[in-house]
Amino acid sequence: MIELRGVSKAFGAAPAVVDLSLSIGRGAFFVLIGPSGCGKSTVLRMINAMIACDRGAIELRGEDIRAMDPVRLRRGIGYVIQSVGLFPHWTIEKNIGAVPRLLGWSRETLAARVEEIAALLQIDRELLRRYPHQLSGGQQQRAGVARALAADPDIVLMDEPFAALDPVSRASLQDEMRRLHAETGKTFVFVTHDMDEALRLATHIAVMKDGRLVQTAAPRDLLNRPEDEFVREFFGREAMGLRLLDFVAVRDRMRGRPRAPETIGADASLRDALALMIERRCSRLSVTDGGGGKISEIDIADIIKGQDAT
Amino acid sequence: MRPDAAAALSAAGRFARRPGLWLFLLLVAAIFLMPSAGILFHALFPDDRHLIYSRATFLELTLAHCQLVALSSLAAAAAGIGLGVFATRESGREFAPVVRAMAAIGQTFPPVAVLALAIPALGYGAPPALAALALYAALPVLEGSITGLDGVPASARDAARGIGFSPFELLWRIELPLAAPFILAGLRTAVIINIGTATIASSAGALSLGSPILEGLSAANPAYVVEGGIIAALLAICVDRGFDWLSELLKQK
Amino acid sequence: MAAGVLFPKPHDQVLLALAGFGAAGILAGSFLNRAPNRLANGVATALWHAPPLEAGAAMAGLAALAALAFHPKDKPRSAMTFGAAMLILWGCLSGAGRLASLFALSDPSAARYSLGAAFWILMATALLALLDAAQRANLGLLARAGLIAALGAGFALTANSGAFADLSLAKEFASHRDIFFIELRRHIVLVASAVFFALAISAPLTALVLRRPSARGLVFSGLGILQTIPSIALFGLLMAPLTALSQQFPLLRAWGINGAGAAPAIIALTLYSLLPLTRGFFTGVSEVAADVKDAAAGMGFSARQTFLLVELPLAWPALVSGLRVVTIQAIGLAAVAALIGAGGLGAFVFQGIGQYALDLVLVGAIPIILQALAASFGFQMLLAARRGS
Ligand SMILES: Nc1ncnc2c1ncn2[C@@H]1O[C@H](COP(=O)(O)OP(=O)(O)OP(=O)(O)O)[C@@H](O)[C@H]1O
Ligand SMILES: [Mg+2]
Repeated sequence: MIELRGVSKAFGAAPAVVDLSLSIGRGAFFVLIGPSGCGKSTVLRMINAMIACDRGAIELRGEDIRAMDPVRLRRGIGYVIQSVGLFPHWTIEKNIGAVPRLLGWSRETLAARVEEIAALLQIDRELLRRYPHQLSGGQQQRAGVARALAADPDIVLMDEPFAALDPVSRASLQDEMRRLHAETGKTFVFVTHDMDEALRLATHIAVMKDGRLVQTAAPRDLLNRPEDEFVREFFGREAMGLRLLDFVAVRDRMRGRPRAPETIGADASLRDALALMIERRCSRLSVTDGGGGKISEIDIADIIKGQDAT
Repeated sequence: MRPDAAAALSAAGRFARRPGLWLFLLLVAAIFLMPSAGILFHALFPDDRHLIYSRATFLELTLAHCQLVALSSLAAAAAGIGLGVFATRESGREFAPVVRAMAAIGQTFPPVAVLALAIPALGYGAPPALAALALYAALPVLEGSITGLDGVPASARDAARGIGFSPFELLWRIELPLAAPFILAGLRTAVIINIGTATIASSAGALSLGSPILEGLSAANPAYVVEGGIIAALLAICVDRGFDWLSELLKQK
Repeated sequence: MAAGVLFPKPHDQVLLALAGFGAAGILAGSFLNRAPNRLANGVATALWHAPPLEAGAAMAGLAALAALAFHPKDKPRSAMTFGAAMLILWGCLSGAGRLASLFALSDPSAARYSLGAAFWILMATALLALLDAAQRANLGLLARAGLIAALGAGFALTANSGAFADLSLAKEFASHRDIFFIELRRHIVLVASAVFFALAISAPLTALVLRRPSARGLVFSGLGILQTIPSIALFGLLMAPLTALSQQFPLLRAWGINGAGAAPAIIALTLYSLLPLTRGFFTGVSEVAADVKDAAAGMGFSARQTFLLVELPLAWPALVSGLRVVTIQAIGLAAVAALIGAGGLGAFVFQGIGQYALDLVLVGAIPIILQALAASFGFQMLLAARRGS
């Protein structure tokens, strides 16, 4: 869907992106991660032709972007900029409907779509009539995301869209994104600093450093086989093992008959199970199925032992 | 029926409480009733000379004055906004410092001096006055446009570009509306200065509310001076109020 | 790529545009107008009829500006732009002067030579190029002051040597030389007294507005209305009551206060100055942050010390900007005061307009503009000096 081949970009003498090649397939949830200033935003902005690359080529749906009209190209791509950038003189409603209006949607379709997208992103109906400065930072970010999704683009670029949200709404929006991705099959390119967010959402993660690509892999492979010290460090050395537990469900490790008094659901992750054991000071938990009936048991030894398997 | 009447009454009350409205009515009254105020002027200036200016009616003078100001301000607005837009585009960025300095330095030129310079260049009558007024008035509009356009948050501009606004749409839908209060403030300064300078322009042969004042001064006939002065002052105050109202309107939107 | 080879990309588009503007001015306009007498219309003479040395210098300077636009390095470009602009200035001034002298040899003595559009366009081109170069080189205020002084001294020396004596502008100036300095002094006195009175009134007015927020709206909107009234209308409206007063009170007449002349002018100029000054003072003092004042009080400053040592210095920039606006405005408005017999440089302007003597208009208008520019620059220096210390 998106193809970067040997792309480089320098601002003056300072290189921002160096010889970067990426292949982002249709329907991927592609997360770019790396320290501040490593060139993540620059990559996003090159994809929608806001910045022209110095060397290399970028293809979108099999077509070189240099051959496309940048304005039409951008209208077909959702873009959430890092600093939100809502238009201060427009209500939230009008902000969200910006691209559909440019595309000439009818009034009714537009109104219905704004409503739908606002509901999806949990934006209160009452907020729609307000102006951006009357919203909290988190509410503004949601409106920014809604604006990017409004015209139903098949490619969505997001530059740290949830940075200003509290952990609870952040988690719920992440769930929403995951659901949206699963349901619509849109291609997402997502920039974040937050490792947990990356691991939660991504189908592919690309780690960048100083404008170069360090490693691209599926989240689990990245944790299992970090390319080098930098990646290991970046993923928080100590926490790497724990993070890996996120990817395995209790169901996959349960064994024997349920005897322990404490219970956990079969679909919970091993990390949740471990956390519960520590909290309750026990080494075994009974596993329950959807109906609440105990079906098996999980032991702390099984959690630890199985870590690098699969 | 009753609530309707009450609403109408309170609307009328609000209407009546606008000082701008009363000032405007006063202006209209001054324009039309001035010729019948002969007795008053005779009482004020005990003199048997002709005490009511009669070369042209006050309505003609006011309209000529307004025409001078309106035409020059329109031209100034077009030039000032156009140049301001140019200096804030990517292609015109390089000119921004010079344009800005020109606007700042140009505004230290006294308007009368600009008018005086236009006469050797363009001759007597309304056209040089028009040109001088337009030239001078373009400067505050230009300054307002540049300030306003530069003040557009970079993030809003970036976002608009990023989600597919064409350069024209960006200018028309985002940048100009956000810069509008500053442009309007510049235009207000320009128009008020123009109303004053247009008065003086009658010394170079343009018909305006300055005509009775200047004739009164040179013929030592204070009645003419007062007549022209009152109408010119009221006109300026009314227009200023009008701009007040416009900027309120802009804020509400 | 091919276009790039044929026409290299300019590094300074401003210079290129200025050079084009100057060239268009030369081609379109007349450099010097030659008229048989003071009132007749002149015949246009183009720049290339000027003595070859001067005409060549002006054109070479213009060509140099165009060429410099393609110079890649900022620093040397600014320096050379300065040189090219000087060349144009000298070529224009000396060229006009010498061309007039050449004509004067054969013409009758009533003939007049006035400066034409091409002359003014070239001067504007050179001055704008200087301005651009000064801004690009980030020249400090002191360096700019030095530059202006050098330009002024050069001009004065050349003028003193009689190089411009045959230009009608110089003739008008020479024939009005004695009154010129009287009117100049009058102009300055008008401005200075108005600013003085405005200061004296706006200080207590500011104090009132600061103490009584309820009076704020009334004071500012009242002063705002005064500010919008056209100058000549205000002058005129003040004349009648003053005439009446001076007829009532002989003492006033003895002081020279009557309907015409300086009194209504100074009163009107003072009234116009009140709004910008009061607003400047008010914003200056009220924007001194509350915590700064608290800190001063906490360190044991008395109210008086807080005002003198904290508020006043911090409000200084706003004060000076207010003064700057007021002074520039008064210089311009004082010109109009000539219409009510207050004298000043405006007298030349309106006398010239009335007599159709356009060079006399310039004798008044140019010094008015120079005064305004000088005042503006002076106040900027004052601000910068304060900031520097
Ligand atoms: N318009 C620009 N002009 C000059 N330098 C730029 C510009 N945009 C980015 N850079 C530089 O390029 C480098 C990469 O910037 P980029 O914004 O892509 O980083 P990032 O990875 O998004 O950082 P962050 O996580 O802090 O947002 C930085 O060193 C930055 O200073
Ligand atoms: Mg970034």
